[in-house]
Amino acid sequence: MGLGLRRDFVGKKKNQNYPAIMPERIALRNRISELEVTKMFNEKLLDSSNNVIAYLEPLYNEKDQIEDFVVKYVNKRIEEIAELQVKDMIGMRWLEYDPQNVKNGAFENAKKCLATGQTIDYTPKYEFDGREVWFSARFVKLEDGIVHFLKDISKEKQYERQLEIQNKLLLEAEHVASTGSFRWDLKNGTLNLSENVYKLLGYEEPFATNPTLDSILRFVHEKDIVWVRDILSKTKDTKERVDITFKVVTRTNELKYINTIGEYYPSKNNWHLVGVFKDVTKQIEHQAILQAKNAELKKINSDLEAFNRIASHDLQEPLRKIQMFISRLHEEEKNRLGLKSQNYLDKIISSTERMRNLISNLLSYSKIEDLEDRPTKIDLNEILNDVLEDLGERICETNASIKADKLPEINGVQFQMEQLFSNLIGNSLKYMAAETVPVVAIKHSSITVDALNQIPKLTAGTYHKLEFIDNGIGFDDQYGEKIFEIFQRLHGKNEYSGTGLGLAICKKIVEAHNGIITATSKNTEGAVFTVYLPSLSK
Amino acid sequence: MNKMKILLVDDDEDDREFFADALVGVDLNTQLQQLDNGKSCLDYLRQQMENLPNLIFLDLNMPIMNGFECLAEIRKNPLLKDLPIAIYSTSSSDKDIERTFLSGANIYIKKPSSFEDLKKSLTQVIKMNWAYHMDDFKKENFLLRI
Repeated sequence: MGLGLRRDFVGKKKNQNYPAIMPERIALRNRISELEVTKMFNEKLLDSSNNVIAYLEPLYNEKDQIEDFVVKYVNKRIEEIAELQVKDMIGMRWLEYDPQNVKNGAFENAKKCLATGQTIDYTPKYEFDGREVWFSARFVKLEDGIVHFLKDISKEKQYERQLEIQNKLLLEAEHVASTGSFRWDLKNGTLNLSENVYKLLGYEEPFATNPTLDSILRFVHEKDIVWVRDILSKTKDTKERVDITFKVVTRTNELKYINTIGEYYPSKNNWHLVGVFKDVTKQIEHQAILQAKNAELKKINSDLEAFNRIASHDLQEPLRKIQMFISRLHEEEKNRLGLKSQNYLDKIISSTERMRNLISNLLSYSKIEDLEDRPTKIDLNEILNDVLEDLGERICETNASIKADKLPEINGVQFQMEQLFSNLIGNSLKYMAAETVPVVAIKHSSITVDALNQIPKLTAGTYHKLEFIDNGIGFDDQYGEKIFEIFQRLHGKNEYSGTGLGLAICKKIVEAHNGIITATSKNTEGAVFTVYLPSLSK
Repeated sequence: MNKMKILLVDDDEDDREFFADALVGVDLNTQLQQLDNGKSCLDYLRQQMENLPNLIFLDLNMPIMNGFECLAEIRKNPLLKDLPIAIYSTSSSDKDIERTFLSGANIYIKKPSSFEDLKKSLTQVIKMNWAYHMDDFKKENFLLRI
């Protein structure tokens, strides 16, 4: 046991405080009690140590080989760390008491220390009740045995492991996010790069020597390098945030887009530029595709507009001429034509008329979203009156009765609302069973759409609900949505005239007014078209 | 009784023919002069200052000088600013209609697609008591659209 130092110290004290001439017995008694004091002092001192300290003496077998050590001393610290009892350990065989000493290298090191007299440092791991404990340990030879010092470094090990895990996590995260990070020391020009920066540049491992800014900038594409350098040298002075995207050519000649974001941070007498590299090649490529698609879409839209112009003028013009000539032919020759020819002429007249309708409907359909027509406050009662006046002839012919509630004011485009009412009421008059008198009712109510009262496709708010109810032929309810599709016809055109655009126009108009339109019908019991339009905001 | 002098400015030969035939059917006591663009119309009017037409029908889409420009030029001239002008065009766009009225047109007729309709329109316009209505035109509140 390493108690020699303390003995010297106490001895000096004695020499100063007691006279040299003393009877032998008293001196011996004093000496014994001093030794006991010293021993207590030393034990206290050792027990108060933060380290585990043990003294081990070797046990030899018949072949004179060390087969184990005997624990001659261990301080109390072991009780705190391993929940072992010192009194149970003293005198025990070391390996027999804890076989871990073989596995973790303690036994080998202990033998080596004893044999060579060298001090040996190592870091063994022990497990106490399933808990890992790491030590920084040292063997020192003392007389016939060895002293074992063990310092608990589990916490440090834990931090080290956490740091390792975090580093690994960061590396993986950078890999997953295709990013790397960097830190540039402005004073001495050194550059710290995370592993993934190298991977982004096509390397498996970091460079053997520390990289400089230039060694990284040489990957920047020749078209970008000048302005990238400019930005760096400018922001080096201004300390502005850097956010740039440039092309790089990797070691494997791959072209990549890298976005770099960095901030300058001051430190003592120095600045660091700290930031991330991000591989944005995919985003840039997607952006390029999107831009190309957008350009394509614009082209298609302008083609469509050109088509509209053609339809509006160039198609309508010859058609009007045809109709003009037909009407003249009809006027001049109808009495001279045979019955068959007259029939042909009538068919030409009705066909051209249908074509004219179709073209003008197509035009209004494509014009609905025209931004030129700004919505204004309009009175739906006036709209209804105008429409009924226009339909007057047909209402008279069919003897129809049309009853309407008092209608609200809304925010809308006047002529579009006229078209909506005209198409819906016109349909009710058109799709009638033979010899039935059309009855059309237009009902109005206000509704609130909220969490409790939801209507698909309508956002929360207050709406006017307009119901157009007729007693016509109705339709099979399974076509409730289909009838609003463009060019959808449920009847042969010889049965009922129509272009297949009327309800598609209605739908587009209502949706352009932030509303919805639905249709329901029980076959033969007429149809109900319901229009929801937003209330005027207060 | 003096014949009513009517000037038609339209580059479309067929339309001019329809118009002339319809006019004969409507009123025999008319005299029709036909021109095919805005420039020739302005030249004609300058020559005929002493003998101006009673009514001009003006197409919009024409070569050399279109109807919009021609209309504006006519209205710029103090001697011509009260001449009754009916726009006679295939366009039915609200924008065109509004633009011609703001430039001083008195009537807007969309070219019809049947000969019957054309005769109806012409009857309506020609039988109109122009002397009576011109005061309304000046007040810029008489907007007739056929």
